Amino acid sequence: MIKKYPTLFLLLSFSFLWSQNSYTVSGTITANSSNETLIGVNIIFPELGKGAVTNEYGFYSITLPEGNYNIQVSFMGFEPIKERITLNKDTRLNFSLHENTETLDEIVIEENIEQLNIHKPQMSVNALTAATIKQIPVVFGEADVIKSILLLPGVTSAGEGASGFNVRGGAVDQNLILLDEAIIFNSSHLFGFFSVFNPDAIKDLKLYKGGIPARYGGRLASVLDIYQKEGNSKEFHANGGIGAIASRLLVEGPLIKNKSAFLIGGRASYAHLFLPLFDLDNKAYFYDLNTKINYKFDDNNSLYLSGYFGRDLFSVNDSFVNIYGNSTLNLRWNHIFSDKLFSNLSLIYSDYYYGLLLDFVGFQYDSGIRNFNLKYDFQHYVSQHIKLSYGINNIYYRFNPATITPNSPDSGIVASQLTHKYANELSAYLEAEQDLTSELTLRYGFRISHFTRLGQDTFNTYANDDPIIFDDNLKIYQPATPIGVTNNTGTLANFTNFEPRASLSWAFNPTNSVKASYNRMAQYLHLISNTNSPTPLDVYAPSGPYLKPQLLDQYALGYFKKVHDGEYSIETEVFYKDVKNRLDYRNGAQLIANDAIEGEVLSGSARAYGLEFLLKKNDGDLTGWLAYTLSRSEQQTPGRSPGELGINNGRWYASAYDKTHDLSANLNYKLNQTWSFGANFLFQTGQPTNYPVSQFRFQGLVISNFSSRNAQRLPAYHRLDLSATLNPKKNRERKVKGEWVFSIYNAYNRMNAASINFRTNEDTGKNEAIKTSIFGILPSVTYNFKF
Amino acid sequence: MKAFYKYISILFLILLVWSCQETIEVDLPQQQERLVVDALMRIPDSNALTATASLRLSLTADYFADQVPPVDDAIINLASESTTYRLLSQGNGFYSAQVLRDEITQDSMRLTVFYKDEIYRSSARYQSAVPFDSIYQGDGSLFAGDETEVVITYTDEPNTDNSYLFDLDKGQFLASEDTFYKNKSFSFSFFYEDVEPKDTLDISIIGIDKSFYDYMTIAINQSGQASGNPFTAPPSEIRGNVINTSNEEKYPLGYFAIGQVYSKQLIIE
Repeated sequence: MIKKYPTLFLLLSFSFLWSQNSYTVSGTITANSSNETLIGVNIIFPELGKGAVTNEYGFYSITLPEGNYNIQVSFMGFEPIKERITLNKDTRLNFSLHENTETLDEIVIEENIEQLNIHKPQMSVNALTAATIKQIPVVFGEADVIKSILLLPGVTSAGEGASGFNVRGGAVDQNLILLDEAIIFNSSHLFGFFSVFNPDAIKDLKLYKGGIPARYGGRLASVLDIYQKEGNSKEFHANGGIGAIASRLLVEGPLIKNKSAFLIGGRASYAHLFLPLFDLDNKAYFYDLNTKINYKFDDNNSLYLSGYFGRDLFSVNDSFVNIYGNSTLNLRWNHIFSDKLFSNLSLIYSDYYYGLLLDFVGFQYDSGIRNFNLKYDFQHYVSQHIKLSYGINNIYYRFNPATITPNSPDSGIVASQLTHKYANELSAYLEAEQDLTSELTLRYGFRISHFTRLGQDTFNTYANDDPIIFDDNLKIYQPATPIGVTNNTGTLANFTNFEPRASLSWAFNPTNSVKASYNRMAQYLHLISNTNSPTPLDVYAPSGPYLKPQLLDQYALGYFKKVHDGEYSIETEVFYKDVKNRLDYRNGAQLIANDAIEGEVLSGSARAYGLEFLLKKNDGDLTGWLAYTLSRSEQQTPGRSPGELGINNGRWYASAYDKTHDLSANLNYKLNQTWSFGANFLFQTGQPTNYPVSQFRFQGLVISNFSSRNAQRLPAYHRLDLSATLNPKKNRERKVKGEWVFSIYNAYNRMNAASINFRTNEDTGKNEAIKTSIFGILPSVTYNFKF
Repeated sequence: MKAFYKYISILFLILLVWSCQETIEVDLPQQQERLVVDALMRIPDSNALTATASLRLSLTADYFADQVPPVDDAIINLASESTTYRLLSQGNGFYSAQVLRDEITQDSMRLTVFYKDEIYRSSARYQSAVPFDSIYQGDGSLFAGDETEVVITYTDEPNTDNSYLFDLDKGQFLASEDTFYKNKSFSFSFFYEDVEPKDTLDISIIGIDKSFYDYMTIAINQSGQASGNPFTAPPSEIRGNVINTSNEEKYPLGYFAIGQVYSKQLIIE
């Protein structure tokens, strides 16, 4: 399963030599009030200048020479713990941290903590806590995960009302979105106005943009790894909020005190959101439900069962009903084999469903993707200088491109089922993080992924295996007519990819480091979407005989600096990405309910490069960051033979999410115990678009004609958001604590262009350009409570 | 199934509840003038020996121009396997000729246009259609509540793959493939926005092939009221089936197709 490489083996044996006369300190760190495990807690040994950080399940392990040491445990928002320990045997030390009841600004940031991050080879990662997300002002006052990460360098979206997000010039489908390790296929409610994650249920999230660790795979551009809270196993608590658009409630508490807890959180928007504007029976709403149960058998064994269910519903007069959403269910078992070996076994089911009823055409359309995922991950703290991660992962996919059902006996529609597609993705990884010297830390490893496209009921075959042909006369691409259909029960195609990953950190002094990374990623699923912003009805297609897996190589180099004992930090990175087998679509491609997608797509390349700058102020009354990205993202689909034109005549063109300049700033100011304020500012180059080069008439239609793709741009996008949070004084004595959040989205009422359309005015008969803006200035109030 | 995007556009409209639209000035890129061949020849059923073959020639114009320039000085030949007909100018870019019905419905017809020392060519074959089973006015509405519903029913031609083009009058077209209603009687509703009682709608169904179906799908998307919302495909260049044999770079726009047509009138109540 795991291949041993000679160099790796050498490095390992080298480090084993160092590990003699050493003992291991390990344990789990939790919050005292809830027994919730804490992610990213620093455990520092100041005399040695060494330390460890807790993993996603609150576990840490560090191996040190025999001796007496001070140990410091610290985490933002909690009282630090300082103890003296004698290390003469392997020791289990669990800590329970008390929440800091004093104001945040009294927390002393230990210098050593910052050094740890400086040392870590992981670069291109941004972490946000639920607390930070809740401070950021957003539209309608609803705290939002995706809206928050859009303020980070290298992350953009197609704008208001657009689903998903783009990382470093990558497409929306190139983000691996994990909620408690389950894959989420659509991250948006209401076409991107909200994300599917309930901020109350979230504990921690990390966004990896580069230098992606070997334990992640299957998507090219980024990993958004979100962990939900486990639930309070000490006391019952509830919190919630009442907002302009949606309300939410989360309840948690012990099932068995200190052993087992549950958490259940729900969110729903108001059903008749749009109704007042139309004299019709319209509905548009979403809801989601997060649940989690954990059971702690003993110090070494914990079981977690978590689930998510979310749906969006639109209905117009019951003649048009649209429902879609994600659901996930996952069971995880944390087992600590020894002081040095932590493991997590996950069994995950997730699916995405899209349904559409068109009563006036007479049918119901359903599509979806379903997957079963088995993961076994190990973190092996081999010695004081080396830490290994390894594991296996198997995902079985079932795709339903479309089921068409007549909605009544007199509908003329014939019930049809587009061929189900099946695939399996097996992968294994091994990665080592190694301190070479006190300045130089290296992480290196690989992932091997093997994708099998399994047999299906009917599979089209084409002359010369070519499903799309170029008509040399007319200069257009057209789907080829299948020459046959096979019924294949075996395997249609196999792909194996070796994905090396490496990063290096050189902390040449305690406050400065240079990091470099390289990662290769393979992505076997393709989102079949030809629109500027993905729609919920887009389907995923697996790689196979006609669709090759997307492959990426990314190189990144960064400089990291801490100023004023970590009060400020500066992160600067440059990156270059090269993507093979990126799909592009022929002009006029028919993607919906098409059983032969292979006839609509061509394979091309994509590339992106850029510079990111992030200045953060980490503590004090005023915190926040300034992020700037200068980048370019392009794609190219040349003709496959000299006579073929390719797409856009085979020339490179800006991808729909190419944003030259992207500036964002986020500030939070705590005036006093009662009031705090927040502000965001965003500026982005307008997104690429297409303007007509001429018009012509055909059968009375006035038709716009276009030439090269994405050659024009919308006007620049910018806006300012403000928020004020009132935490009334009387709260301190009350059991139920309330909080008011007042926010203004787009404070100076900039009418940003969501699109510029060209149309013929019905009254004047003249052609005109129409700018559509979605949100102008938008004030809102939200009331949050907890008890 | 392209119709899906239309419905997704409806969703987008829901979102536009919060939105605002304004007319703006935009500087557009320029492109060379191209010849446009508008040659969808509609052949109604009849016992007559001949049928009218007609087309229109024009040039492309700047997007904001009020008119497109017609072309009246071209020479046009339409050839069956045995006869070559000359289409004569009728003014305003129109050309027509009477051709033998048997030839235009059975032969592969070749079109040749001589214009400004360049030769443009294309060919097409007659595609059959089916008559309407019924067209009636319904009382449903879609979104704004003031649309007029027209329910159109027809029975798919059995045992072949068919595509149909509906000319719904009022500058509205709809292209449909029979993928999901093969051999069946099928009806759909179309919602008109701006019709008044006593208006007469001339509705036609025209037989087309798959390539022309693709062409019309793009053309309809990029025409008149097509709203370029974020959920539509990026607009593109629309290449038809007419080629410039003298100069490939100066390719023309438009399409040459021959299709059987059935028409019906409906007076709105």
